[in-house]
Amino acid sequence: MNRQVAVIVDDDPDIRAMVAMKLTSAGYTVHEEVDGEAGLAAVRQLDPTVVILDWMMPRMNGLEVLQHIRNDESTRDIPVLLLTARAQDDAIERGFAAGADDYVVKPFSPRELLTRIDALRLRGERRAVVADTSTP
Amino acid sequence: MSNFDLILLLTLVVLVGTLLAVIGVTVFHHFWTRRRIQQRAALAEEIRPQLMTLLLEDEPDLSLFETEQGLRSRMIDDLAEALIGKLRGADRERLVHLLDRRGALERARLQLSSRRAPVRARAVQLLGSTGAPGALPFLASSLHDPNRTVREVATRSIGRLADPAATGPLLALLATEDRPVPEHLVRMALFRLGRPAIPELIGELGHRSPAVRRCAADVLGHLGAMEAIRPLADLAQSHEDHEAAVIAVAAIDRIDGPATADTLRRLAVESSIPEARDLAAAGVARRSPPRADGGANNGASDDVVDSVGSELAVGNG
Repeated sequence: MNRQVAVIVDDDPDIRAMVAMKLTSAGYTVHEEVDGEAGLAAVRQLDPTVVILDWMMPRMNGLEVLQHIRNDESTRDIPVLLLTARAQDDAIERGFAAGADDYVVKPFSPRELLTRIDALRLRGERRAVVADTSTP
Repeated sequence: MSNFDLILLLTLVVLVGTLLAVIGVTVFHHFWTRRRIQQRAALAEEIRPQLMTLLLEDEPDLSLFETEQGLRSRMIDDLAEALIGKLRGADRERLVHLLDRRGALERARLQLSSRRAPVRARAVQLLGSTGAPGALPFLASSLHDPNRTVREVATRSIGRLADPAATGPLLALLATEDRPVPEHLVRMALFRLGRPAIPELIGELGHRSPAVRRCAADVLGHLGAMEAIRPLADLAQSHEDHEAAVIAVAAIDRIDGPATADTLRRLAVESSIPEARDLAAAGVARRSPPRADGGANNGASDDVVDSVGSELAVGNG
């Protein structure tokens, strides 16, 4: 089985470390970035299984990174989970409208986050199987 | 060498000596502070992963952190508290339990009577962020601390407890003339108490203090309290307090419930306060379907709601 790769983009070292430890213990190879630009570059380079993206970050915010991911043919299908302190309904709507596959509000539960990431990964794998079988 | 030359020389020596001493102390302080910061950073890097393993293990050994002393002990408390603010659920509870076992919460309760305001503020912060059981009476008394910073930290912290019993002590801050805490902090704290505080807030709509009535009405609107529409409509008809009436109409306008449109329609006709009537009419117009001639309904009020909502909801980065 291929090792799953997760990219975490967040400017808070505590959040990165918590998510990284949780995902590493679940068998993911984790790559961490501290700002939007570096995060986008990592996503393009690594083609990860899943991306965990903060919203408010230096250099390029999470929503802009998400839009770049969705506009790029090579990255558009990568599952992205927004992990952000923005809890208002309009922010959640904007996140999903920009192409987020899931949305988790800080403060968060690392266990719940891992469950959601696994669900995203499985959904992606099922989509890939359906796409393969439907290709003539 | 004359006496004058001697005095001049001595003065020069003293001045140069003083200057060198000042430079020496400054350089020493600079390096000492830098070394201390580096030490703390290195210690944090060492302890942080150990704390985080607590979040991974099913049955972690909390006793590992109980025997620490000095700077290392304080660092564990600081890091655990910082992590608690970013977590919820079982992981958060585990860190709170760790702080409790280490005696940090009991220490914080005792530190509330410290003579030093920064120590009291730090204790209030810890009790609030951990949501320590039984913390409310301690934090409520800190709302009246002689130091302004402690009072403000207590106001922010009490909101994090999400205990509706905090509604009364928070609103009481607005009932006095001297206003010990800025009103926006009280509003934000009440908003953070969330929906459980709604019955208490409705009860305060009839408070004798205009500031309390207005604040309760405003927060009910931001909480989207549908059950508050009728008492808010009563306040909106208040002849004694026009400002409260206008705030009540604005609050009803923010509440997106089945009774909102009808209540606003009624107030737009029946209210004897012109500003309240106009505001209600604007709310009704915004809820009406687009006109056949293509005229757009005014969405300005939504922008206001969004911006105030953001202001109230922003809390932890």
